Amino acid sequence: MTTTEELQIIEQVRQGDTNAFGSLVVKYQDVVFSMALKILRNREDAEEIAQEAFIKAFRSLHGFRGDSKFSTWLYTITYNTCITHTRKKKNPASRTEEIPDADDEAGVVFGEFPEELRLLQLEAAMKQLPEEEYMLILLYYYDDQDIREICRITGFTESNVKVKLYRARKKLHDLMCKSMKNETIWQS
Amino acid sequence: MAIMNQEEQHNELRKMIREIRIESPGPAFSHQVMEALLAEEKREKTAFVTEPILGKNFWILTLLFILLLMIFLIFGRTWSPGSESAITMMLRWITRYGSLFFGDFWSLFLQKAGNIPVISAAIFLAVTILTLADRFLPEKKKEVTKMISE
Repeated sequence: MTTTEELQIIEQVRQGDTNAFGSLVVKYQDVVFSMALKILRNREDAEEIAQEAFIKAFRSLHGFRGDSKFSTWLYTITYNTCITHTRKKKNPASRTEEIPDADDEAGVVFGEFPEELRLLQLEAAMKQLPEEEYMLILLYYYDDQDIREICRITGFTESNVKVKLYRARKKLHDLMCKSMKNETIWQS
Repeated sequence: MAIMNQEEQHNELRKMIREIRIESPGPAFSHQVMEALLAEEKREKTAFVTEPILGKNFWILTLLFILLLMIFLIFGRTWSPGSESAITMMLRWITRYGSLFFGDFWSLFLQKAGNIPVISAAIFLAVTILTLADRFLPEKKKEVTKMISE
């Protein structure tokens, strides 16, 4: 679905065709849910909050001016809804184990991992990332949001996003390295 | 291995990440969202706005009634058989000017009304006002169509 098609759907919804919103739900439900799950760490809560985010987006669709991508706007709503929910529960999401930063960017080469294990290792490493870093990787690499759009969603500054993204990438790499080492030990 | 530049590294990671499976909600998720949206839309279209039982009209009429009753009570005291009551005076005044506007029929009607005793007139007026007020009382709820708001 292109941006133009999305805008057409949004226009249809604005004119009263509620069912047209369904295609937007289907398209974005995975990213919205993944964000919510990472922050809330509970599938039931994540589904509830993801649903709330879509409902909020639907309600305020007439306020969407189109000066950003619909996805950016939707993820902003999702992120804020998750944060509000976390604060209400007074139960800040427990962070995953902090992984020390790697020394330099030159060592962060993902092509070095054996192809057959690469995706499995990456998937496992992604799950171990703290929520902030997971979200940045998800938004930047999976959903193709640029730095400015990520700033809009998370409220971080541009330089902050760049630094966090760099650290996230290194952590991801380190986790994959660690996983590969374990794999090698286990095999030998 | 040739040293990759940063852009190539980004692209490589992007390609890999797009191949992994990210978490998905349950299979009924989108259906549930749409059901919730449609239910909400239906609710919003037939929203009921509750209004007070005694509306503005009732209080205006009551106030008018009290005002008229006070006029009758204050000026009516001077009334005795044979003397002219306040209502008769008022009606005579209205008759005089009313005939200019509404013709003989109206002035005749007012002349007849001028002969009604004050108490009877007050009771008649009160009944009329209460009957009118009663028309507004059952309107407790008002159906409205609400636009979807932000």
